[in-house]
Amino acid sequence: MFGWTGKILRVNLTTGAISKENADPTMLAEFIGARGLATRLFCNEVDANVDAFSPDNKLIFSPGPFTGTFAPSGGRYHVVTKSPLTGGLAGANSGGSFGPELKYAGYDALIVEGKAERPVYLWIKDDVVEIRDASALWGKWVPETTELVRKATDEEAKVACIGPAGENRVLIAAIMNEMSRAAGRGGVGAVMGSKNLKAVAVVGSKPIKVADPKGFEAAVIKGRELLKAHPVGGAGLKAYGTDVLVNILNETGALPTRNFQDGFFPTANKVGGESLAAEILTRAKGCFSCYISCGRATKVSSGKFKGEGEGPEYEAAWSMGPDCGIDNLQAIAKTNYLCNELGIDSISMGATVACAMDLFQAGYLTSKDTGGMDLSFGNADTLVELTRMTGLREGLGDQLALGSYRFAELYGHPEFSMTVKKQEIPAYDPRGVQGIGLQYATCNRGGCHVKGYTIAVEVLGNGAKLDPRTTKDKPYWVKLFQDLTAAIDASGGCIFGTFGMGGDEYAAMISTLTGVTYTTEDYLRAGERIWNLERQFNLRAGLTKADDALPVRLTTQPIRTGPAKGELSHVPEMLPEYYALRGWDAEGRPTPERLTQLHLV
Amino acid sequence: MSRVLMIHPDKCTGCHNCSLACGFAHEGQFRPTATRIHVYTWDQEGFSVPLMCQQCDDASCANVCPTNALHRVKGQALVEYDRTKCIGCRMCVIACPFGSAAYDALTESILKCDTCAGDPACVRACPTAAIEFVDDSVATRGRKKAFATKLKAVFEEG
Amino acid sequence: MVVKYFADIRKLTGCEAETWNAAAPSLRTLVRQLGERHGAPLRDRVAQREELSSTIIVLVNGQNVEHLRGLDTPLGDDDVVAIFPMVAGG
Repeated sequence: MFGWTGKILRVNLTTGAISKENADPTMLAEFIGARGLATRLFCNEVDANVDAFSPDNKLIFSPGPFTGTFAPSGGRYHVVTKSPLTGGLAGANSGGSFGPELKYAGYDALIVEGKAERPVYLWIKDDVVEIRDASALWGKWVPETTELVRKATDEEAKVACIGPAGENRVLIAAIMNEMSRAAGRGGVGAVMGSKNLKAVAVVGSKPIKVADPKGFEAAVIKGRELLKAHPVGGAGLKAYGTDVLVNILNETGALPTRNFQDGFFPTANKVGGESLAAEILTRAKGCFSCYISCGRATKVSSGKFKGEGEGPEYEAAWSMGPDCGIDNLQAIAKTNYLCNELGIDSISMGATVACAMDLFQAGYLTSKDTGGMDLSFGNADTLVELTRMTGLREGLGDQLALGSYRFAELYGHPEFSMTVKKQEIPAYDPRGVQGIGLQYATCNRGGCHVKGYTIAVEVLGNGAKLDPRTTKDKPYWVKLFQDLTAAIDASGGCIFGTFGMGGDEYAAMISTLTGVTYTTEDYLRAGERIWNLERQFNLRAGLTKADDALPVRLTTQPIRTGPAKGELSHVPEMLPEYYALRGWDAEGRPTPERLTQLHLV
Repeated sequence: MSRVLMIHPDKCTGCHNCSLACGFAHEGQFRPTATRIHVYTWDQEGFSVPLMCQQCDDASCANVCPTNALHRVKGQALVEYDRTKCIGCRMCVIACPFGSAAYDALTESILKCDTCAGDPACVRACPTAAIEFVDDSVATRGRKKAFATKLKAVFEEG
Repeated sequence: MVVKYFADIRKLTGCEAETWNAAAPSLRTLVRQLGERHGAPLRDRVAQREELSSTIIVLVNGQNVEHLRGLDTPLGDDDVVAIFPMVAGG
């Protein structure tokens, strides 16, 4: 086998059974790996109506064929499970080095089933796999967990683990690797906690073979050149990180402010990438095989927000910044470090606090409810404290741990939750940027930007330059981004590779690596196949067309100030065209024709 | 004058493109233990250092090698490894103070940097020029200049 | 009129924003004036050979000039012009 290892590792935590099976070559070819392979395996084996915290739910970790090779920025892995937050499929993607190590140990996927009686961790060293007692680790935060697991296994082991948040089944809990890299969204950390699985440690020494070494190397060199030549992939992301987006979104008038009350935040510059670089950046970091180095090693040296680690990225800086009416970069950095250390999704954490602040401002959440805490917009101390409390499920944090939708529901006003399918919407106001709103509404994992990142063409002018304010052709672009992203996710690639490389380059790399020929069309079709498979699961789980909708605020309350003042989202107008392009019926269900075309019948 | 592999840890992002390139250049596949260059990363602080054979003038590995498999060719800045003479005693692994000679069980040989016949793969692969292959006379120029610039600033203020 | 600069553009201007008092009826004129005030590197970064650079984003009142009239986009006293290099994020 080339690119792939051809082996799947299965661990049953209830029975303690550990087995290895051969991966089906047809399945690999059709679903590529990572997100695709994990989703195919998951949908084959798990009933869509399973309770997310039941032992019958499974947790699948899967790297892609690129992972562990020098495909530029191609070292990622995906986690798939039933989401306790959305009730649909959760798929979270992470970088760092864990994915490559799992490949070197010899696995295209790790399927975790059942539930351990007591806390355990997995120790995988090539063919030798052990389930070990983790009672001494339970309760430990992510950095300490990582260090202790390494001490007990191998000091260079790559460790994916949960912090207290996952242990406490916080619905927005993440799985962390290399301490600051997150498989963040959808509550995947809570599922891991529900299985009493504290960590997975891996060391691998096996080779990944290449079908056409000269061809692959040439394709990779070309990819690297394209990345280097691109202003973003080549220099911009390394100099300023993703947080550079704060100012451009604000100047476009689409920076969601105070829980989407508005789209413009006058002091946004204080928390943007330029300020980050000047004030807290130590150096750039890159994930395994990364050619872009967007990671931020940062440090707040003194004061009450003192800390060290990675980030904040744009999403975290937004959710903990403008979304909460906060412009204190140090407080944001501290909150982000806490999210990494406790193992919490940085987008959903900030956005959930923002929702609580909105309810507090409206008087639906009172000082009595908050135990005297002041949840006014702009209160940075409160944000930091609530984050800690959420991870540990203390006080109000016990309720915030449910995510903003269930929290707002508790206080009688779910319409204050800026979510789709109960997952928090990220950092682009869909009233100011029409296409991303359609992505939010239709993304299989709920409110999400990255699986269909039309911001690249609607705001950033990467390749095409679309007008963000119009709906024209947006359904076409949303579908294209969704399909291409699914294929890249399945390959183990980082989406930032698209700032330079395109479908042609990816198809060339995957073909020369695996020996299976993909045209650009084949590659996109694999992505479309994965997208439809996810959709089918969600439909079986009970999600319907009604869930392909934004919060009412965004289609009825215009942006109040700034360059996009007066704008509303027009997602409902775009939905029919989107369904038609997808080959779905008017209820958003894939037609038999489309499923046949995609080999999904 | 000879060329040396110069490391700039402050530019290293911990991406491992160097070790991937090294292993691939020697074997045409991606085997993590085949690399002659290792990157050490401190996760929390975000600091990474790539390390490889320093091609020492007075190489401990060559000094202890009983068969001259490891030897220095006079006039060259390279400690060469002749696999045909190697008996796998691994004294070099013990002797190297940097840990840059490793024994590879799979190939039953010593792994150490050979500078890829003068065109090091790691240098070509590094996205941030954290590793350079430069003339030894200019290798530290950047460091000296960076520090001199600080002194300049101090004197200009005063 | 206010002109704002972002990311590494700030290194070329030495400031984050400035009030523009000179009359600049179009973006084309403003670019020429930017060159006069901040030098050729800035001017050439924004426009080369009479065309807007493909690696620059210019917003006027929040709208990308690509969807207005490019370099011929008219400018008025109350306008806000924002100049970005091409950036990205997540």
